Amino acid sequence: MTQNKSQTNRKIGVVINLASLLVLMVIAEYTDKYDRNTVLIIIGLAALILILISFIFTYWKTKLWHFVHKPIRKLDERELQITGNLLRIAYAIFTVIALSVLLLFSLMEIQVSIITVAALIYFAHILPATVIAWKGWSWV
Amino acid sequence: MQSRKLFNRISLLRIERNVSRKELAEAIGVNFQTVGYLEREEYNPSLDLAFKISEYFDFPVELIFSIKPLKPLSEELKELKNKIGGK
Repeated sequence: MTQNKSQTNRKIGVVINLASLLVLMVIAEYTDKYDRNTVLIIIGLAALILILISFIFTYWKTKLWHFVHKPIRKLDERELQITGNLLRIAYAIFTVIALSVLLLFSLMEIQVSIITVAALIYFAHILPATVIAWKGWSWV
Repeated sequence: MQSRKLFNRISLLRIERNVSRKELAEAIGVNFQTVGYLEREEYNPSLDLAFKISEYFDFPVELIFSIKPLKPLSEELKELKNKIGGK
């Protein structure tokens, strides 16, 4: 019961984190290229705060961030197996999303901004931990 | 590849020897959570780890791990004794 609850909380944290990241990215691109108004900046800042808060509760306090960033020499065979599976899934998801974003920008003839690049780097780093947060440990 | 489930007596031996999961984990060089996974039979160890565990408990590997559900150790030893006595 408690495990299910924490799993649900983690899923909520993942949704908030990724949705806020998307909102931040869209607002940053929009304000950079078109219109920079106070309302959009406030929404962007709120999204940034949500990213930070959800990151702390979903990835940092649960030690998921620490697990996926542990040096290989400190991992035992089970952890290596989990990390291998996680990175395989994360790589597949990241390449599809990152290349789709780049394709979209290229089709819309928009220059990729530093915010989008930073968001993609952050996304690449949280993705393996996101897979565990979403699916739990037992699937490996 | 889906591997077969391995049954083991790690939990039984650990409790019998009064060893904590942390102590066992340090002795065989894994994270203490991995010991929990092994005990719950949710993770199959590598051959190397299985031998490390058998060396730690000073028991033959086939008495600790099996592909069939394990009988109580007393029953197993009784059968072994009968086998040796029968020869």
